[in-house]
Amino acid sequence: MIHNRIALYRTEKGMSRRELAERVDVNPQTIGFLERGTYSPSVELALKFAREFGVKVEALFSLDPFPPLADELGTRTDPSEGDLR
Amino acid sequence: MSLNQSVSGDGVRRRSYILLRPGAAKVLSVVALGCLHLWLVLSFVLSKEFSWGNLIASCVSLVGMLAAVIMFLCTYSYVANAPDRWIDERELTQRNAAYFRALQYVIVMILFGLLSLQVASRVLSHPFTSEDFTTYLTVLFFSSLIMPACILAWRDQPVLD
Repeated sequence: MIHNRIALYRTEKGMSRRELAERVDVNPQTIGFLERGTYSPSVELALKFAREFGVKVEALFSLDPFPPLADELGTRTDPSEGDLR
Repeated sequence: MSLNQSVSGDGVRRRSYILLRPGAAKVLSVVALGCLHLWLVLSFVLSKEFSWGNLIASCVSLVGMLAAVIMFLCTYSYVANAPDRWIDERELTQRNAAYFRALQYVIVMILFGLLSLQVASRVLSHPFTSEDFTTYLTVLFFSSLIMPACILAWRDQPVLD
């Protein structure tokens, strides 16, 4: 199973599932399936999401569960460390 | 396959089909498949002369066929029958799985359906006529036609926003 942060990035960008679906050219339901983790995307689709959000694909998809964002924020003390995602 | 060219214009194509909510499609699929199979059993068990039972069997067959036609014209059938480039990769995966299940149904229906009708004809001392076989083929045709769409409807999950 592939874990992802599509919901997190989508919410941050203020996009609805339908808007994101149109941008990556899939059915809106597919976004729901991906966010629930019930479907693993192809490499092509994963790269499209990464390009859409402007991040590396590793930041968006992982074979291991992502640590909770609160935990990650807690470990960062220097604000100049950059992107927390 | 490039997804850029796959689902563009998808909404327009989908709108030419009947948009059914998952719940409605599930009910319709149960009505269609249930009535068609009930018709097969009733037409086999009941005598060929006119009776109220035969009239009810005819009504059941009509309801089943009408429901099957509606099911065939709904958006789940669009996913089931659209060319590969018109649907996205998840739908393609789901469709493959649905067709696999539909194939299993057809195999079971051919093997055990036909076999059980033959056995029932011996047990009930009821001849298995060409009319029964035509009914069996009609039921098999309609149900295998809509089976992938029915499976897709049962596995569907609504969009949350």
